[in-house]
Amino acid sequence: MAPHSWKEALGTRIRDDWAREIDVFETQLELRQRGKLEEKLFAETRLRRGAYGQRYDNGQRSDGRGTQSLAFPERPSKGPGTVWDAPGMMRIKIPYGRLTAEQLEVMADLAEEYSDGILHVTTRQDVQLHFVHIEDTPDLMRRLAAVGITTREACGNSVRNVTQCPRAGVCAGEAFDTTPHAHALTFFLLGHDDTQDFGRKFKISFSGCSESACGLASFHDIGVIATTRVVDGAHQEGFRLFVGGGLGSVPQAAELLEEFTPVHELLPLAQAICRVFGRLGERENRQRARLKFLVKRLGIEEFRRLVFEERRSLRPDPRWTAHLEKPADELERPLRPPQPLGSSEFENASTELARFRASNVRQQKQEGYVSVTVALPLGDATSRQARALARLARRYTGDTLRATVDQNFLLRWVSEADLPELHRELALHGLGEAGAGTISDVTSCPGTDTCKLGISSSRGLSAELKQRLQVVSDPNASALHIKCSGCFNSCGQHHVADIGFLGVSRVVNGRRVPHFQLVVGGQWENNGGAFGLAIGAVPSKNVPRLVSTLTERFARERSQSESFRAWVVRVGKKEIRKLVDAEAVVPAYEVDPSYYSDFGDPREYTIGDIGEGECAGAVVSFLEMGLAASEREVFEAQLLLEADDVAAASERALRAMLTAARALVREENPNVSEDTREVEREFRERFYDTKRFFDPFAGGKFAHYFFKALADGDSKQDRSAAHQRIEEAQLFVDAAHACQERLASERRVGA
Amino acid sequence: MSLTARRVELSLPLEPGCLSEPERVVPVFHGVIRDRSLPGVWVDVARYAHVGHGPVVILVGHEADYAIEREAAGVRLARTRKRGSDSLLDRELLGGLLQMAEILESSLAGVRVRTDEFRLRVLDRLRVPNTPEVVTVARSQVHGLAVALVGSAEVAALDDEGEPVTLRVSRSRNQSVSEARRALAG
Repeated sequence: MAPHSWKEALGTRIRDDWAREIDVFETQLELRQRGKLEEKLFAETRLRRGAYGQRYDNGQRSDGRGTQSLAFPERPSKGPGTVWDAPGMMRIKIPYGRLTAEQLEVMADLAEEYSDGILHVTTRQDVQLHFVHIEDTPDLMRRLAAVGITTREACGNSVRNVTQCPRAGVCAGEAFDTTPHAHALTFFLLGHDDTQDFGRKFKISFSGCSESACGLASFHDIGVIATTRVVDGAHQEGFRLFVGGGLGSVPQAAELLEEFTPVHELLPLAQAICRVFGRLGERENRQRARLKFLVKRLGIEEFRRLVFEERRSLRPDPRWTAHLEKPADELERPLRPPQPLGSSEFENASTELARFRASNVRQQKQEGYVSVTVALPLGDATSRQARALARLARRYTGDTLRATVDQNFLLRWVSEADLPELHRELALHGLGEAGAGTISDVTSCPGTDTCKLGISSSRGLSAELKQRLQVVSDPNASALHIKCSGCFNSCGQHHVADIGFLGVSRVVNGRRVPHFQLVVGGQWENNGGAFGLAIGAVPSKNVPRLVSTLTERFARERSQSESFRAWVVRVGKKEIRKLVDAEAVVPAYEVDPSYYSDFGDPREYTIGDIGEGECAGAVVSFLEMGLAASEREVFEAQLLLEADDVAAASERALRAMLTAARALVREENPNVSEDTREVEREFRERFYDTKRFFDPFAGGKFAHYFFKALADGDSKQDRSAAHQRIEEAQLFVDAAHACQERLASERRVGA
Repeated sequence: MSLTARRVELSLPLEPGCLSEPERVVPVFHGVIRDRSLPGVWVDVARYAHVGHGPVVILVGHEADYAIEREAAGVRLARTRKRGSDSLLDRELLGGLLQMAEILESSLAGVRVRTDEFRLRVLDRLRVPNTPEVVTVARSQVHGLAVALVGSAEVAALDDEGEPVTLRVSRSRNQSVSEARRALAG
């Protein structure tokens, strides 16, 4: 008989802890629907599961003449000002960009069945699906989990997708392959207690070398760059560890925390950094809550002192070094023997293949193998293309591929002799386009297409530029990087482009006109080595002409081996500003109304659709999350009792009390483990013996429920006893809430 | 065994060459949202003209989406049902598609939608997995539904690796869109 649900169909294919997490999330959806889970908490919960807001999800949309209310059914919200039925975005974390053919196929199916048939690769090596209904997300997560992908902590105030140079392990210039370390750190920090209490998101990247751009370590909260040294004749691998970098509206270069962090110290040191950030990072003003502000406020010396002090206080964890004892990565082995492309084959190659080879193909350090970039326009691929790519990955590379930070896919371990056939097959599916990494390979954030914060259409502009820049013939101009963001937040990484754009709005002739600020002086190489500055704004429709002027002048005036950045310095910003001013004029509406609408959008331009971003989410503490989890567990216990599963109901009620008790303890002892006895002891010492948990009228009664349940354990309980335990669990959780309020009040008085 | 599906996509081909620039549809879709000219909640217009083959422009709705799709064989108009009925094919699904076809024909000079062949993609791999047994049942079931809706019809399964169950329904007559709508209503 056919299964009735994906949960039933996938059964044991999902690992137990992930299955449980998704069941929990599904329960939270139900609780929110019943009005039993507070809006702000639910919003942060769904964000931490990767379910993000999208433009118009407040139920309002400009139609070019005025703002319309979208007549969605009346339901509880899924966050402050967020309509339940409004479609949202699902962010799928692809740790360090590595994915298998099967994973890509599943995402292709999900895009068709829950989204709009498009997979979007982001600048953090994630895949995003847009226009997804919140009620579809648990099944979507299950189908991903069945192939080894979790969306946990893809958004919200958490450790976001860990990124890495997509050529790790195959690049001739790297110190060593950082893949095992990126993998270990990803899964060590995922769901770790010390990463649940941040005031803002936290980003980590790995790079195999200092010179290339692939890892972009300079603008991450933690930037990890592989390095080696020789001590007493012994070769050692380690990392240059940078902290406190970030883009956003105020970019800041990361500072060096440690010149050489041995590989076995990476995980504990990262944990210590997370703890210091969780404890001392800004929580009230989210505009200043990233790690970069904390590092700046304390100074790198003091920050370093605190981190190493914290490191010394950590309880040893076997996971810190478990990955170092495993054999080398076995997932990525070549499928075909290495075979260079013969010179006659090369001579016979078509012009298309020759162009493709020049821009999209790079030799690996392993002789006879090449890495092939599959350029995705604006990071988009259709479900059909994704399936085709998965088949080609299986056929030519041994099953794996990588998403890149410039929004493409990379096929590694291609035997060079297979290149003509691979290119032919890619082209059949519209994936054989040359120009990867060149000026026409424009990077763009979602902008006004789907982002609530978008001011101008970065994707519309990027599509236009991409089309026009196919014909740039000068090799130096062709090598430039263009990156577009729809607002100042720099998701399109405009600060580190040769030519960057960020969306702004201007009022001209009494009407709004979409504009872009030109940003020059940034550096993509050296891990994003320098940040550009805005020179001036031009109307969106004039940007392509400005780009042509800039690139033509650069090609004409460039002295030998001069970079674009050096050329900008030489000619001076005053001169560049003149070029901007020449394009800044907006014709009257009556003369050319096209200036008053954005690329690809016939509506008259407005900024009325900008909403509140969910990038940061609300700041919800570990304690609040813990208490919400304990409430949900009490509810689950009730459902289990309804289903006559008495033993499970009783066990779940006990777990609810443990969860609440541990959340309280962890406020004061971040090292507390999940061991039941330890939680009981710590709770007793800190909250019972001190009477801080006591109710003003009932005294220690509710704590006694907890101790009694622990003493009884999972001993056989009848229905009546289970029922009573559930009631007591609810009272204990309520008392924990009251205790939380008292703690907050104590802190306010203390402050 | 009777098959049901939550999400299905039904599409009609456009006359060859009549919409060489599919992005011309963008203002028409925006107009549907602005004027509320179709029943349902319409949310946004998504543009993917930069992607070679696949959806070029999508009108995203709560209950359904409409899309102009470009493929090697030409351009198609598609309607994807996302919620409501769970029939593989019904009057509402076909009627909605024809209604949009009429809007396009009346809004864009030269655009003509064919009605002698429509394609059904069943985007519900849980209930309708692409296995030979299920395809046989789906083909027979859709044949019955198609005959009831549009009279005589031939149904063929299109087999493409990894794709969802896809059926082509062919009719001998290419009625005009308005004629087909009248016939469906009658």
